[in-house]
Amino acid sequence: MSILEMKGISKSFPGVKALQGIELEVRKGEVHGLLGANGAGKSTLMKVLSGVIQPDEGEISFKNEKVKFSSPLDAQQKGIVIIHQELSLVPMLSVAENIFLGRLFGSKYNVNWKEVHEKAKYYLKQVGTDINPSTIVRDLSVAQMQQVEIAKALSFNADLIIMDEPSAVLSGAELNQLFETIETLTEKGVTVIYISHRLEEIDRICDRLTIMRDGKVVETRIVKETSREEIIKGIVGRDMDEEYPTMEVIEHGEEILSVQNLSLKGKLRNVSFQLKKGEILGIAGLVGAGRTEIARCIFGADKFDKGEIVYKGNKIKVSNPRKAIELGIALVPEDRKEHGLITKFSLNRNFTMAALKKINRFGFLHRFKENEASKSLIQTLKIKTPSIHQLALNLSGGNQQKVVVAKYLFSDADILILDEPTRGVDVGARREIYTVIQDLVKNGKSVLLISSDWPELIALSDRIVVLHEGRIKGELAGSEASPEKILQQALV
Amino acid sequence: METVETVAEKRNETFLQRVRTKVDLGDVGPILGLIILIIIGSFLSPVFLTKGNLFNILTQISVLGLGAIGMTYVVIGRFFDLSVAGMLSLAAVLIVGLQPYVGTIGAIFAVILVALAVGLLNGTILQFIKGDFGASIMITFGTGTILASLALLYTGGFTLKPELDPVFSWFGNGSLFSIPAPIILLIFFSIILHVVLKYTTFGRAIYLTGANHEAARLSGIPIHRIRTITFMIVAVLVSIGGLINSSQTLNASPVAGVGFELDVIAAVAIGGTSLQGGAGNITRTLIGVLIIGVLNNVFVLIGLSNYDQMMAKGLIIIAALLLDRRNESNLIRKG
Repeated sequence: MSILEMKGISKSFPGVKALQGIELEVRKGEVHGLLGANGAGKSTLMKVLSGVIQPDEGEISFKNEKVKFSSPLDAQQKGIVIIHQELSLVPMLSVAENIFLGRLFGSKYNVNWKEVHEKAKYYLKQVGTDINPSTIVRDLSVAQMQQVEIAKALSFNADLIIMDEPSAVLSGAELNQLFETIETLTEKGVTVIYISHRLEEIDRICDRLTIMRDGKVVETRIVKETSREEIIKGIVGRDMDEEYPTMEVIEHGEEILSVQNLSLKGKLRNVSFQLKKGEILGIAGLVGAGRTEIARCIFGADKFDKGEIVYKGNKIKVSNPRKAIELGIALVPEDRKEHGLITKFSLNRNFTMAALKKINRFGFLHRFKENEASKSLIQTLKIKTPSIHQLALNLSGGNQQKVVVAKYLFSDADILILDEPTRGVDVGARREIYTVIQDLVKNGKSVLLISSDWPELIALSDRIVVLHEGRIKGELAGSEASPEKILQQALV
Repeated sequence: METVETVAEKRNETFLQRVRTKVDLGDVGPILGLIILIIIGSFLSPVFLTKGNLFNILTQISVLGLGAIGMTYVVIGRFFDLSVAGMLSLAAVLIVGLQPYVGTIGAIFAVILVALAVGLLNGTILQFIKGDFGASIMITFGTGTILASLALLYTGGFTLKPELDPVFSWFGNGSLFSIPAPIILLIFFSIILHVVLKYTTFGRAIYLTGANHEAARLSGIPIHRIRTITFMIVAVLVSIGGLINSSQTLNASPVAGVGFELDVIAAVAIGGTSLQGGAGNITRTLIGVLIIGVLNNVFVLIGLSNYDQMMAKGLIIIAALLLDRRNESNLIRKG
């Protein structure tokens, strides 16, 4: 018997069709896995289902009734609760206060704490835990916090609980705890939609699964009758198309960077790889696999526990980004608006900020040099702007990204670490960024490319190392790599 | 080849739009306010626009001005320094207290060394705890309280009588080219700070730091060092203010600086330097200082009580911050 049916759900955002004609049917009491690559539309669909956004088309029936959710509260009251990856508990309040946040009860002026605690205890028991309701949430483990979230969901009399990558923040033992909780829930007739990238989890607890890709549902299947290969194929699906340029073959020079046994507690374990002059090395892995951590360690933005970095034949110690930039290592960070640029400053100020030394004349700013350099960077990278005095915030995403790259061209970087350079960038600007990357290596620079867009990574990289939970799982030559192969290594 | 300029010309901006982007309210507002105050002052009292009275105003604001131009550096870097009050008191008594032992000039050098150490301490603690804007308020509040108490401990709570040698007297009551020395000192340091801020790479680094700490750090700007230096600069300027204060009043009070930090920050904010960091300049701060000076003078001329003056000052600070907020949102709307 189905508890939820979504029919023909579509949702567009300016320039993007996020969901197209989604059909999803979830049965009462089952654990329904939802899979798909980053950007496949899982989150959007769940936002529609939990009332965060409204679909443009399509209808939802829940418990055999046609429903429309005007807000998350509305969805909650009707029995659908979503538990986000970033938990939404208030750390300074007690467990009971969190469960009944905004809904504490009692007489007009006083909260009836005794009853609040008793009720909290009741719901916690339903989840199968004996956490004391007066514990301050801050003192709980992440797994316990999740249990509190679920107890909170139950207190809304939820019939359907959506869990958005709940396992991403859990370790082995905690994971078992979560699975037990889910089993307790389904025994009580609660239905769960379980979003995860980890196939072994889907195998273990899901009854059926739905695979999404490019805003559409690919298929819904029974887990027991589906092989991993089939799942992977479903997730990756698309062929590589002309979105990507054919890379010119560039002769690689000598080794410029060698990372040896890089370790960071809880994040990275014995990561080793080499990078040659003129090479593009791709780093693949799922969110949380440790890709950004590697970048930040090499760049000196974060400290690491163990390991060595050999650069141009010398062992180096990068204690801070300043040192890295001086040596010729640059990081184009994932969050370009907060970390890459100063958006309220003009372009020329942004261009020169990583190499003030170069516009320094006896301590004074060499403004002429700054302006000339800015103009030439704008031309080299074909940045679309009316003037070098334009504020960075007035540029499009793609052009902003170019400004960040330009900043490190000006600082004479030899290695550029690009962390998700095309995230949030439209297709046309993507092509231009690819050209920029290609020009970089043509001019003898080396690139470490981090991207969640695997076809992109494959098209651009000479080699790809695949990370899984902080370890390098394998290495693929760009020519032999395929999304399937990456996924196989990234998942296991 | 399409040059950058030709593209700019192609943009169809109306004259008004161009004026609006060039001139923002943050610059004009305070100047306008100052002019209005001066007009009001000249109507209220015939002596207002006399040379004597104007020098009087400037002399009175010189200590505040020195603190405020130093604080401008700190605020542009998106930090706060509340220890200036304690620093002023300590400098005021230390100079007079050390006079008998090392002479006036020796005492001045000693106090400047102390000020550098205080700035270094503030900066180092913040670096150690990886402190941000909020932490800088609390830490400097703490160090400032310690400095204030040191000043009191040093004198046992009494005021000290200075030895009136020519050097000491010059700072408060002397003159150069018939301009009172405190004004000369304020102008001198203002020019230096203005030039450094506007034309040097160090000045640029302060702006970059204040605009976005993390982006600046990731671009290799030594934000900790920049912050420490700005703390050292403000401490030194304030200690010179303490010297002027002791020389002007002919006694060294261990409570000379009480409330000083708020006046300083008020002057910076009234001038239109954004407390959000990354924007502002010395000229603005000087206008803020002048507004406070003229306002105090007008209050006295129309016979307002001290308590009324406090009320008026509070209202003006709030008005200045409202103006600041409006500018911020204007910037965002432009984008």
